[in-house]
Amino acid sequence: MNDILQNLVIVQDLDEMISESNNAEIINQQEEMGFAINGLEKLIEAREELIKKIPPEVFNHYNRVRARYGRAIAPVRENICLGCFIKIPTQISSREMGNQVLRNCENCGRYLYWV
Amino acid sequence: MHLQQFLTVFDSDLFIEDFTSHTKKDVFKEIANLLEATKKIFKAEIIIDLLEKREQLGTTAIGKGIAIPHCRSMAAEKLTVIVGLKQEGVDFDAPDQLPIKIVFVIIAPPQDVNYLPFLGKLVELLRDESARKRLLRVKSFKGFKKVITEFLTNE
Repeated sequence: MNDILQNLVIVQDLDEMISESNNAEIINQQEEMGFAINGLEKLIEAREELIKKIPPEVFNHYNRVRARYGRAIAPVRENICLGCFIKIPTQISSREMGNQVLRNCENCGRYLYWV
Repeated sequence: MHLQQFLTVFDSDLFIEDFTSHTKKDVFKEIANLLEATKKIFKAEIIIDLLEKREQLGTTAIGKGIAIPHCRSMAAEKLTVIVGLKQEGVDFDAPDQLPIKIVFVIIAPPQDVNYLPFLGKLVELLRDESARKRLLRVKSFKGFKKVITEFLTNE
């Protein structure tokens, strides 16, 4: 798998985790279930460390697309970008092949991750 | 969340009767490798990294021998649960310091609406002393499902 894509997927998942950890309703639910949420700063630091491994132009694009659509990486199934539901024109026959290179959807610009 | 809906999340392919790991880090590796081997996810490293980072937010061990590491990830196609047993237990930084004998790892896609209801129902089940004690003794997926079914149909 492409290293940059792998780090981007983790960053997006961390962004989701951080966003939920800032949501009072979700924190209450988690705490009622017995999970202490007290390490948000550490999580943010871990995200910052990960970002250092991503080329700035890629991360800038990630931020622009995220600001526009909420998520900057779209899952791909059967060669369809599940962000905008457009078929990917390139012939990709496997998840391995799809995730070997960092690609954008030509229609919506989201980075693509074959699930 | 309905009984049937809750039960169908558990998968015999994702039930580890006696995992080989002795540390929290290795438990995450073993579980993520199983997810990759069963093609539930594409890349184990993503899940290992996320589960480790989720622990930085706060331990997912809830005490009494149980841990429920959980996170959302686009690596998962659907709500996925792995159950792992370890009779001698693993240190998981539990609030009561007890070693963990059952691990439930829950991975949900970002948009999954059943994630928190499932987690809530699981915690409710595990808070029941009788169900918890029975679960800590199960040795097979069949036995595991029987305990859960009986608890949920009697509640």
